[in-house]
Amino acid sequence: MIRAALVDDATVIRGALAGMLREIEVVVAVSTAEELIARRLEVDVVVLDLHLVNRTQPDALQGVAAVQALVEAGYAVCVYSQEERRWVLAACIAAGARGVVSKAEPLDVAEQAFAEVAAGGSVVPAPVAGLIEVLVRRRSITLLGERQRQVLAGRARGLTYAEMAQQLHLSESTLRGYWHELIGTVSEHLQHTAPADIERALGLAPGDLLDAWPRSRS
Amino acid sequence: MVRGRWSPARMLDPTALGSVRAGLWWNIGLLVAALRVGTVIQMLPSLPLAVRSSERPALTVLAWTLALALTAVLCVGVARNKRPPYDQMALFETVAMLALFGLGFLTVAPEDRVGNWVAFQPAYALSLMIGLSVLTSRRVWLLVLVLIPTADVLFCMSAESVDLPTLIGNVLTLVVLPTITRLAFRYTTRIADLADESAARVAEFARREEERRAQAAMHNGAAVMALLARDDLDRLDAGARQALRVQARTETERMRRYLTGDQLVRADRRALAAVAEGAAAGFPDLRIDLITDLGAHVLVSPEQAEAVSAALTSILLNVRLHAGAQRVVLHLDEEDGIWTLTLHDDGVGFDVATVREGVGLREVVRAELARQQIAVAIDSMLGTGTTVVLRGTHQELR
Repeated sequence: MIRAALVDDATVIRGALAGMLREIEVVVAVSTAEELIARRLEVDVVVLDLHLVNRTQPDALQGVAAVQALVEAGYAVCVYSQEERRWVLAACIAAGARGVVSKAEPLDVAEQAFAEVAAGGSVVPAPVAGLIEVLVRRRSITLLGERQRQVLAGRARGLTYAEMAQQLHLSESTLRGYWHELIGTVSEHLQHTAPADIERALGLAPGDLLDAWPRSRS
Repeated sequence: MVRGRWSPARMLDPTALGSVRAGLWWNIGLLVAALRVGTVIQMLPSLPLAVRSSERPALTVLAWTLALALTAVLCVGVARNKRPPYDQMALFETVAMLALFGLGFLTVAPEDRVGNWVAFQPAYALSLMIGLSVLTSRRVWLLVLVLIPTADVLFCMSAESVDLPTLIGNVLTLVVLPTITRLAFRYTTRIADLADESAARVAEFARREEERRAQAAMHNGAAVMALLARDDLDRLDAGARQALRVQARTETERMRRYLTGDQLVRADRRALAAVAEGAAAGFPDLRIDLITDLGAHVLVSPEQAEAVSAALTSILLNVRLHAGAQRVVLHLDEEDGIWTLTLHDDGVGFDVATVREGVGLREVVRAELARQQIAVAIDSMLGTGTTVVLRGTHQELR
């Protein structure tokens, strides 16, 4: 069974989600990323809420900082949040998250996404894939091969692996592999790209990404 | 302007009788009648001389009266039937013509039988045969072609002095001229028939086009009304109900424009991204991801915008009613002058090879977009989802 850790400041979520997932065992549910890192538990995936600061834990890491801290601690992170701003979600990918799922998704969709990340895959919603596609087309990201570009275009249009497999005459597992490599490549690239460059490529105003973007590792 | 039944404009209008063929026959009938009347007018100055020089003046008067009566019957027949004579009238006229030749033997002196109007029979026979050449069946025409020239030859040979070339010339005139007339008439009838067939095709095309326009105008409206009429409408949240009302107003306006014949108000080109966003806004109950960054600059004509909006609405209505989708992605892209609008849902899908497209996909999506030079491709996998791709040319405002 897949072992998951849940990081969420909402007591109800921490208490309820474990009982609602069928194929995933939530071995620990904590309210901060720091607490999970301190416990040094081995899990297949960390399900992470982005908004963790509240009156009782005003100094908790949150957002891309929490993602980055967990990734650096060696965890596979799947963001599970109500956040819908695409560049914030893209910043999570840049910070090393392997998956992003909205809390508005049906529970079976969310569970499937957690399992995909736990299995080493990548789950990125179409709007974020669309944002990555913009960066690729505007030559902010130039590292992708032809197949990876095709997979990115398909994912940005909402196509499933089955549909892309039929179009590209490749197996679904091959396509998942391309996608996983792509997300890794993009994440690595974004971590080393200045927010100002991303802002220019996306047509955002200067400073729009300053707070949202992860600190550069370079 | 009201045109009288016998006005030249109406009589020369090839479609006045409902078809080009009927108009042609009516005009050829008038021509045949005019030819016969013209022959009689040429004959009449010789009538006194014919009576005076005849040994049987009473029979001469009878012969001329018969010729005049035949002409009158022909004119009445043409006026009544709106065409030249058919077989029955042809047989009657042939018998009458043979009788005229018979009376000619009795009333015209041998020295007058060739070369003057006292012996009107050869000229009248030519006029009559041209009239009969038009519509008679082949069998009756061959009978006419044998009997009347034979009677003419016998009549001319009985003349006091006739040379062979004149005799041959007379016969050839009686055979060749009406035959050419017959062929020419057949040819023009064929042209008239082709014109009628073309007109019928155009009428059928116009009917289908009107039917298609009606379907395109009504389809989405009918679907929205069906949603508004559902008993569980109250279960929708306020936002979804409001969006449905907005859709109903939009579709009502579309139907009203169709019924009144009003054209779409001309406006500036519109951003395709805004068109897609507007269509998506009508479906707050569907989870639609709108991704338009790569085509945010694409502008389309008002007509294209209207067609795309109606098509997207129709597709999304299908998704709402049939797909059971959890997520819809609407993605706009532009590359190398071609814009691509992709709508994907993760619903139940369908087998594109066996499922017959409904009015919405066929008329509102495919036909209406094709009229605006927008290509449509629909792909679907059972259990996986459906993808509709619209493609158009983007030529301005990069």
